[in-house]
Amino acid sequence: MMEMTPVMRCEIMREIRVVFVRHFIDLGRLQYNLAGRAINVSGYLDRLPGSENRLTPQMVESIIRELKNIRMVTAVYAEFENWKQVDGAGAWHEVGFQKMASVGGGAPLDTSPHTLEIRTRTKPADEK
Amino acid sequence: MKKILTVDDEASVLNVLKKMLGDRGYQVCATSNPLEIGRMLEDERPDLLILDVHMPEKDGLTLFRELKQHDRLLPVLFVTGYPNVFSVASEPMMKMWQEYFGDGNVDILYKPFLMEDLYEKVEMLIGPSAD
Repeated sequence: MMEMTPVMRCEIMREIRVVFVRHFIDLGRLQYNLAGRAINVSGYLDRLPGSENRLTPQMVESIIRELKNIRMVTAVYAEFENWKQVDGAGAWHEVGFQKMASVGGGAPLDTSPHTLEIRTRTKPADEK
Repeated sequence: MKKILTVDDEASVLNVLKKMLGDRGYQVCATSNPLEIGRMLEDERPDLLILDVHMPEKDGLTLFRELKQHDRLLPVLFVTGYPNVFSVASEPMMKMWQEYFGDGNVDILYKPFLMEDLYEKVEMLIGPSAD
């Protein structure tokens, strides 16, 4: 299998964002990385504030499929806080719907615009 | 060594970003004055721009739009505590999202954030500090 260069990795990461942007996904609520040729994505899969249509299970399925279709990607591991698969595979369903601050009003996530809170956590090493 | 330019009106935020990203091996230059960005981009030629959204002299989205007209490929990471700034209910944001986010060179990080999330977002945009 062709060795992945840093340039190829950056290109794949760019393509990941292209998929999310095409579906109006709020990038700020997602974490994603590339471990070898596998995409790991976690967090909240949600549309941008003010989006006309909410995500449906079919749209989630489509997003995952588009990520899998990115050149040189062999797998996608998705662990969303608000979307789960039935029995770990198959159809997606939404869990614990959390409404973001509404458009034109509502509190921001951070009540102080001048807060920078540094937290750390221990993560297992990525597979290479 | 990859170079990052950060813009935030708060000196404390700039200092923290400089420390965190510097510890990760990136070369970081910073300014609290968004009006200096044009000159700094020309002088420093960064690989990534980290941009605050709410700044008194000029807001980050206006600056972003202007910069993207000169350099479409420059990767940008927005850092903000206000997710609603990206509301696509407004037509200007909808247009901006489609026109300037669609190439995949822009990402968003909401405050407060974990240090690991900042590192991940930066590495997903420009790779590790040294390839």
